[in-house]
Amino acid sequence: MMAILLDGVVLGLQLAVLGVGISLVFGLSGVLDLAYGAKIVAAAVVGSELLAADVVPWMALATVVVVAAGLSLAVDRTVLAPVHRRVGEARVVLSLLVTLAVAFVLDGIVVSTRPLAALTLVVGGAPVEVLGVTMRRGSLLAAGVALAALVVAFVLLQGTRLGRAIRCVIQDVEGAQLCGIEPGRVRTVVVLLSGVLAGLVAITQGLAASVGTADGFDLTILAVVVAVVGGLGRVGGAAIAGVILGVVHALATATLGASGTWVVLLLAAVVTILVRPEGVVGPGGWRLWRHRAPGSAPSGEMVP
Amino acid sequence: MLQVRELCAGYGQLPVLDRVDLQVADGEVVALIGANGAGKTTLLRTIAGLHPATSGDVLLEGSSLRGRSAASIARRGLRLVPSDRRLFPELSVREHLLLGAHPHRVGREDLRTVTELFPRLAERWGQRAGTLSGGEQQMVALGRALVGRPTLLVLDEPTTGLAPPLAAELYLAVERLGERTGVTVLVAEQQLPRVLALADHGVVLEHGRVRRRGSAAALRDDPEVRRAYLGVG
Repeated sequence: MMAILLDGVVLGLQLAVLGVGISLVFGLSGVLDLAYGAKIVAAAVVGSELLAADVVPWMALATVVVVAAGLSLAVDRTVLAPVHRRVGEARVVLSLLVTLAVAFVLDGIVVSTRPLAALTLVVGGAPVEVLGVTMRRGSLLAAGVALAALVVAFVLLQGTRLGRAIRCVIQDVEGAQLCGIEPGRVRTVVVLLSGVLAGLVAITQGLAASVGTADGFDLTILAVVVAVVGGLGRVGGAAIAGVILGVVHALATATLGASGTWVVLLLAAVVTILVRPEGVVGPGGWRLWRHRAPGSAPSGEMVP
Repeated sequence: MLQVRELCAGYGQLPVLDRVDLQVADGEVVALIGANGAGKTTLLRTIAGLHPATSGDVLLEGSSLRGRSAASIARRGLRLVPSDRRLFPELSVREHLLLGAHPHRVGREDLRTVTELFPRLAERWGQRAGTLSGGEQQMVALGRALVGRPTLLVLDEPTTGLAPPLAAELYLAVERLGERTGVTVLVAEQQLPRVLALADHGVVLEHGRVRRRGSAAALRDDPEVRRAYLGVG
């Protein structure tokens, strides 16, 4: 049981990164990126080719991140440009169609050029015992990288002026403009950040197992489920939902098998929309502490 | 400070502003008066860069604002507080105030000025804006605009939806602010007595055109203005 739980946490941290990546862009612009998994796969395939060509591993992995970020920005600036000029439902529906088309194009390119490519990152050394469970070093490193990515993303979003600007644009574009924030620049940063997270998912998946050319749609569906359970567009919610769903995934796989796991995950998304559309954490899930006004006494009050 | 020259704007084929001219001098409080649908909000949104002008120009301290983004206009010191406030429901009062001087850091002195003007904000410091009352939200919107040390503060019906005591408190704060910082204010309002008590000058807008302008005292005594906006005379 402990082994299943630990596997679930390792997967969950990766799902959290996946969910945060897709939620950032959806929260900011209403674009649900159905090509998110395809970008991860494309970046992973580039990484596997570089490693096969004996490129230094750190450089190959850095390239994976750069390719994912570059692909995200390129798609946003070209085929998604007309989508950003629409508002409301038209934008959402158009973004689904356009990103789905991008997913098919990327998938087609990858499958037709490198059908057997897969990013598998082998970490040497003996397995490590954690809470009485023997775990591969690759899995632990994947969990560490995912956790570090989440912490950096949180510090960026919560503790910096840029992060505050991003959250403002996510909540109210016009309000942000009135504060002197350029939504276009913020969108560029967010798209790049989402792309960087996609690259990191490729790396963590490669460390924990493998990323192959057939994994794109599975990754996209997982990202969408995590984003929905986290409360669409709520980045903090997506992070927590990812970890929860990772454990659910591991438990369901052990008891129901692969098909049953997909049913459970999709059911979780459906139930969330019906029962708690604001997501597992809800609207207050962002802030972890409360600040004092200048000159006032410390309240010591924690935000729930 | 602000010059609006022959400004025209509309929505699609529907013209709303018709060659509006307006001047606001340094340190002045100018009231923009008009009934619902007169074009006040469109005028203020066009000045702030949130709505495109079809012709005419807006100059802030001698520089044209045409073609500039709303964010760039805000960074130049023209801060609009819209009637719907445009707050960020999930951000705290503190976070709103820290945003006011974006991309620069907000000084502690500026935060203190705002909390002295609106002591209630200090009590709600860590509270999310979405959970505040209407009056408190208006204070946050004003405070957010003030911490950026605006050269021109533009207020669109700041007392909309507020109970009379709160509206009076808000106007008192704007008055104290003017005395304290000398900030220039352009304020649109339907509540004639209140806004003319605060303003140096006034401009009456009707159907997108300037119908009258003059000192606040002259407009207060103008029988036509009194009849149209106070129902007396």
